Amino acid sequence: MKYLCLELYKLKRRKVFLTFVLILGVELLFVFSNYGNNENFLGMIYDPNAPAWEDLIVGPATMNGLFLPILAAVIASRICDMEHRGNTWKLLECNNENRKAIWFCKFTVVAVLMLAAILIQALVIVAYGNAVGIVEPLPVKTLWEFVLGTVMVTFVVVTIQVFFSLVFANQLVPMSIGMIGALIGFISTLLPTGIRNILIWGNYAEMMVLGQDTSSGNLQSSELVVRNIDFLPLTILFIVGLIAFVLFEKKFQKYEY
Amino acid sequence: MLINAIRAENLKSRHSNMWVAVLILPLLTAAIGAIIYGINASANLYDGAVWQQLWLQTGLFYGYFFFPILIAICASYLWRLEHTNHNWNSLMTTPVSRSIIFIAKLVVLTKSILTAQVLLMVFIIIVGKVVFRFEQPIPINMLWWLFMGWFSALSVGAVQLYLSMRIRSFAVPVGLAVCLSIGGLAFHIAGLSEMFPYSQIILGLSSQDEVLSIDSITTLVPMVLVYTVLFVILATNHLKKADVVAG
Repeated sequence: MKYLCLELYKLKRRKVFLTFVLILGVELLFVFSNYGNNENFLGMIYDPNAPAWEDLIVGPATMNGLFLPILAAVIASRICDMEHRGNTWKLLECNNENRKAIWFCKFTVVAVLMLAAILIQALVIVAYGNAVGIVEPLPVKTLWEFVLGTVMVTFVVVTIQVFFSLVFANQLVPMSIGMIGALIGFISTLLPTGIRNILIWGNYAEMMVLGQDTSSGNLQSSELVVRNIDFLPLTILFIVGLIAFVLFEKKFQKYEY
Repeated sequence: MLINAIRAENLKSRHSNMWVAVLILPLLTAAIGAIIYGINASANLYDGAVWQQLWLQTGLFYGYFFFPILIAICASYLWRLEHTNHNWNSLMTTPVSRSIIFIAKLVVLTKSILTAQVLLMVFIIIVGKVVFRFEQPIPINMLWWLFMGWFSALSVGAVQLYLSMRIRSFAVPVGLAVCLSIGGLAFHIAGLSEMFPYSQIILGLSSQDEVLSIDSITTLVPMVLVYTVLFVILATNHLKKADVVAG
C-alpha cells in the first residue's frame, strides 16, 4: 500500500490524469455525438420492443477496440518511462521496493485507471439513455456483461503494455504494440470470429451486443439482432492473460537493467 | 548545412527500431485489407476496378487513425533522443540554425512516411497479384495514390514533430494524435477536409476516389504547405526563445 501511494505521488504533475480524461473524453464525445443524428437510434427510443439500450452499448463497444489499447499504452508508457529516464531501478531496490512490488504497483495504477474508464463508459451509457428517455427497460445484465467482458480483455492488454513498457527503455516498442493492438481491435468487428479471437485485441468485438441479421446470407441486411456476449473465448483469453501475468512478473523480476 | 543536419539525423536514428513500426503497420494493414476485401468479394459486392476497391478497403481505416499514429510514434522517437541524456544542451550548442534542426527532423520523418507508403503499395500489389490473382493490370495511378498519401501526411508530420518537441513524454503526443485524428474525422465528415491536417491525410489517401476532385487538390496542396511552413516557423520560434530543459 505504501508503495502504491508512492506510485501515485510520482504521478503528480505528470498530467497522466489529464491525458486519461482527454482520450476518454474524445472517445465518449465522438461516440455519443453521433447518436443525436442517428435516425435509426432516434426511431428506437420510444419503441419499448426496440433494442435502444443495446444500440447505445454498441457505440463504445465499437470504439473501445481502438481507444482502450492506445489509452493503456499511453498510461503504461507514461508511468514506466519515468523510471527508465531517471534510471531509478537501482534506487528503488535500494529503498527496499522489490521488483514484485514495482510490478504490482505499476500494474495496479494502469489497471485501476482502465477500470475507471470502463465504468465511466457504463455510467455515460445509462445517463445518456435516461436523458433521451429510452422507453425500453435498461438491460442491466447486458450492461454488466459488457463491463465484465471489456474488463477481461483490457486486463490482458494492460498486462502486455505494462510488461513491455517496463522491459524496454525505448518506448517505441510498447507504443508500436499499442498501435498494432488498436488497429486489430478497431478492425476486429470486420474479421471472422475464429481469427479475431486468436488476436488478443480482436476480442473487443465480442462486446457487440447488437448486430446485423445476416442469417439469410445478405451481408447488407438492415435487420438488427440482439446478441449475447460469448464468454468462452473471453474466459480462455483471461486465463491465458493470468498465466502471462505470472510469467511476465517472473521475467521482470530477473530482468537486468 | 541542411544536408549535414539530415545526415546527422539519419545517423542518430540508424540503429533505432523505427523500421519495425514502419514495416509492421503497412503489413498488418494490407493483411486486414485483404481479409475484408476477400469477405466482401465472396458476397459479390465488387465489380469493375478491383485494384481501386482493394486500395479503398486497405487505406480506409489506415488514413483515419493508424497512419497519423505511426507518424506520431516516429516523430516522438526523433525527439526522444534529444529529451534524454542531456542532449538538448548538445543540440542547442551546435552551430546549426534552429530552423535547420527542425527541418532536418522533418525530412527524416517524411522519409519514414514515404517508406511506409511504398511498403503498403508493395503489399497491396502482392495481395492483388498473388492472393486474389487480379487479371486487370496494375494501374499506373497507384503512384499518384502513393504520392498524394505521402504529401498530405507532411502537415501531420510537422504538427507531430512540434508536439513531440514541446512535450517531453514519448506517449502523450501519440495519445494526442489519436484525439486529433478524431477531430480530423469530424472535419472530413463536415466536408472541410482541406482545412485540418488530420483530415488532409484522409483526403490524400482517398486520392483514388471521386472525392479528390481538382478543386480539392487546388485547396489541399496549398493548405498542406501552409500548415507545414506554419509549424516549422512555430518550432523555430520556440527553439529560439524558450529555454531548454535537459535531462
